[in-house]
Formats: sequence, structure tokens, C-alpha cells
Amino acid sequence: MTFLYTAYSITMAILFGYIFYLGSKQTKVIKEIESLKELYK
Amino acid sequence: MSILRNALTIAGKDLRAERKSKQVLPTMLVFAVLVIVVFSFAFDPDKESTKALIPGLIWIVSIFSAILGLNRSFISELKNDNIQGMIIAPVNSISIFLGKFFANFVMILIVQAIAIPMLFLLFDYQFNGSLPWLLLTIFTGTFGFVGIGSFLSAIASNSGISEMLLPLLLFPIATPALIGIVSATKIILRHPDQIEKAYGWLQLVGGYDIIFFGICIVLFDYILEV
Amino acid sequence: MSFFKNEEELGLNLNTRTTLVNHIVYGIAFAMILVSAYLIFIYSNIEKTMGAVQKIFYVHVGTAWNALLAFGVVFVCSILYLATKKRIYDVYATVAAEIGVVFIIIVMLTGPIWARSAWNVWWSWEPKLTSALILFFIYIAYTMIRFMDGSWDKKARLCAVFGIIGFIDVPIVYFASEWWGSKFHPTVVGQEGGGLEGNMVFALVFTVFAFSFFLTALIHKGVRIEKARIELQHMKDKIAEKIGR
Repeated sequence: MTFLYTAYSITMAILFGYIFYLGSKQTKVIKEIESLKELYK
Repeated sequence: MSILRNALTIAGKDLRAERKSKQVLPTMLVFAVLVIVVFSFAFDPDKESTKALIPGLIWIVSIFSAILGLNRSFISELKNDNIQGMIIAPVNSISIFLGKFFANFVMILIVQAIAIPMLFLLFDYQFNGSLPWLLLTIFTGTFGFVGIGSFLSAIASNSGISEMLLPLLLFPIATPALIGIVSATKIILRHPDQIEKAYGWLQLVGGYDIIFFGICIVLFDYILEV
Repeated sequence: MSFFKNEEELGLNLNTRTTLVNHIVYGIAFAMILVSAYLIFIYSNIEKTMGAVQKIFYVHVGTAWNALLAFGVVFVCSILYLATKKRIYDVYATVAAEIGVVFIIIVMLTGPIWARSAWNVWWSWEPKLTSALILFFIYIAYTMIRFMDGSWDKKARLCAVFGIIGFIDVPIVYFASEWWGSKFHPTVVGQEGGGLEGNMVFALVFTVFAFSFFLTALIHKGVRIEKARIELQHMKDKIAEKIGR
């Protein structure tokens, strides 16, 4: 049973870790775009 | 026909340049022998069990020294933008691939012709299998990984770290050929009575050679685009 | 004043905001993952010989199939890129390859855990394992080409070429390692799938689809981020041009 829980939590940890990574990447890019738009005006 | 003639011209140019500069081939040879020497330190050559490693050793030596040659094959063209000249020249890009392939193939066969007898000598191995079969196996296997290797070396040459990148690209892609060729060599060297099994493996490697050589010829155009 | 004159030419629809479609895709994906957790842990039967540990199989197979699916997307987009030279296909290939690597990492981590508890070894050179390992290395190499320096279209071309070769290599690797493994190893590993009961099959199929939805959601999001990054690069180039003048 421990093996099962370990495997399942590794899977979910990696998947949600990846979503988190994508999210932070997105926030960073959008922020940069917004600030550049301000600069350009 | 002109494709083949141009390819031979390019291969001839590479081999002549190598004959004058004497840089790559001697390096490959010394490296191959050094790998054998390192192996004889790592595994006791006097033990009977070490003899079982020889089929694998042949291919480790071949591939490691081939990587050295393949690395140079396109990087040497980057100097003075030679590669641009080749792309602009009125030759089919297939000729460039074939030419590079022929040159690499000849050089690696020369290295093998010296290193493999040396390996048998240093490990005191008495070869009493069928020589034509061994030669055919070496030829087929080398053809496979030099073909795909020349192609991948053209990809890797675009990178700043191409020497490090090429093995990373080549080893996974060449896996089927390596599995087949090591198994075939093992049968020929150790179980000469089961030669028809080696034939099966050779068919696998031959199939791999044909498929990947075809793909390389089709896709090579895209690698050299400006 | 618009930044994006060559939007059409790129074949991109530059929109960085989260949209309704996005929320829906994500919602379905999360809901399906939750349902599949219920199916895995509670609904499906416990396998008789291996016990509860056998349930690793659902996530393992689910991610493995979807890793292959992602690499299939890379393959198709690579061909489309070489045929049409539209940047959007390259964006899809980039994103799908990255997610495929994430999935195959999960496969490579859950596999040994299952193997250790079911067969008492961490690793066996069984055809499926061997080809999964080689698949993993092929797409690591693909990612290395991605990280190369140079203009995007050069990288896109080389990646597309390697994406095609790598995917064609996969079945050949499987075939070769099957032959190799069956010859020199006794069968440590029993055939799976033989003794699957009805509700196990249902749980498996559902989990595979749940991960597929997850994959779709991730690709969708990844593509939007990649587009935003391209947009950002365009803005920077424009500004650099203006300052330069």
C-alpha cells in the first residue's frame, strides 16, 4: 500500500509541480509585456 | 548519376584533406587503441570470462572512435564558411550527405581494420569463426551508425557544444542497430554453430540501415537550408 | 499603434489572457483526475496475486500512453512544420515535447516502484522498459537541440528533423529490444493485461482519458505562454529598433 501511495503522490506532485511552473512562467511573461506596453506609451 | 559523382568528389576532397593534415585518422586510431588498453586494465585479459566481453568491446571501440571522426566531419566545414559554399554550389544536397558519409565510412573502416586485430591480439583471442560473416557484420553495423551519425553530426554542428551533443543524439537513435550488431557479433564469435541466428540479427540491422539511410536522404535537405 | 504587424505571417493568435475555454478545459481535466483517483483507490478490484500495489499500473500506464501521445503530436507537428514553415506548428512541437518529457519522467519513476514491489527488482531489461528508457533519452536529446543558440527558425528546422527521426526510431527500438530481451533473459516479468477484470479495464481506460485531458489542458496553456513569449520578443526587438534609431 505504501508503494501505491508513494507512486501516486509522486505522479501528482510532478504534474502539479509542472502546472505551477507553467503558471509562474506565464505570470512572468505577462508582467513583462504589461510593463513594456507602459514603457512604449 | 551526377549525385553519386559529386558525392565521390566531396568524399575524395575530405580524404585528401585528411591525408595532408593527418589530424583525425591518427587521433581516432590512437584513441581506439587506448580504449582497448583501458579495457585490459579494467577487465583481466587472462581470465577466460573476459573473452565473453570481446563482441561488445569491438563495438565500444568502433563507436567511441567513430564519434571523434563524425564530430569533425561537419565542424571542419564551418571554417571560412565552407558549408555555405557547399550549400550554394550547384550540387544536390544529397551529394553532400553521401560524400560526408563515404569519407567517414572509409576512415572508420580503416580504424576498425587496425583496432580489431589489435584487440584480438592484446586479449589473446583465437578467432576461429567464419571470417566472411564477421566482415559482413562489421560492414553492416558500421554502415548503420555511420549513416545516421553523419546526419546527426550535421545537426549537432549547428550547436556551440557539438562535441558533447553528438553522442547524446547518436546513442539513443542508434540503439536498435547496436543491439542487433552486438548480438550478431556475439553469435559469430562465440557460437559459430548457430550462424543462422546471426543472420536474423543481420536482417534487423540491414532493415535499420535501409530505413534510416532513406530518412536521412529525404530529410537532409532541411538541415542545410540557409 | 500596434506591435504585431506580422501576426498573420506567424500564424499566431496573440492573446495572453485566460479565457473561458481555458477554464472549461482545466475544469474537466481536474474533475476527471479526481474521478480517476476514486476509480483507482476505491472502485476497482484489488488484484489477487500482486495486491493493492498493482494499482500503480493505472497511473503508470495512463502517463505512458499519454507520453507517447505527446510525442506523436511532436511527430505530426514536425512534419507539418517542415511542410508549411508556419511557426505555430513549431510552438506546438516545443510544448508537446516538454510535456512528454514530464510524463515519461513520471513513467520512469513509477515503473521501478511497481517493479520493486511486484517482481522484487528495481529494473529489468524487459522490452517495454528498455524502449521507455531509450524514448526518454531521445526526447532529452530533442530538448538539448531546443536549448541550442541561434535563430528560432534554425532550431525549429533541426528539432523538426530530429522529432521525426526520433519517433520513427521508437517502434524499431521496441522490436529490437523485444527480440534481444526474450533471447537472453528468462521471463522475470509476467504478461500483464491477461487477468484484468471488467471494472479494472474501465478504471484504466478512464485514467488514460483523464490524463489525455490533462495533456490537452497543459498543451493549451503551454502554447499560450509560448505565444506570449514570442510576442514579448517582438516587442523587445521593436523597442531596440526604436532606440537604435
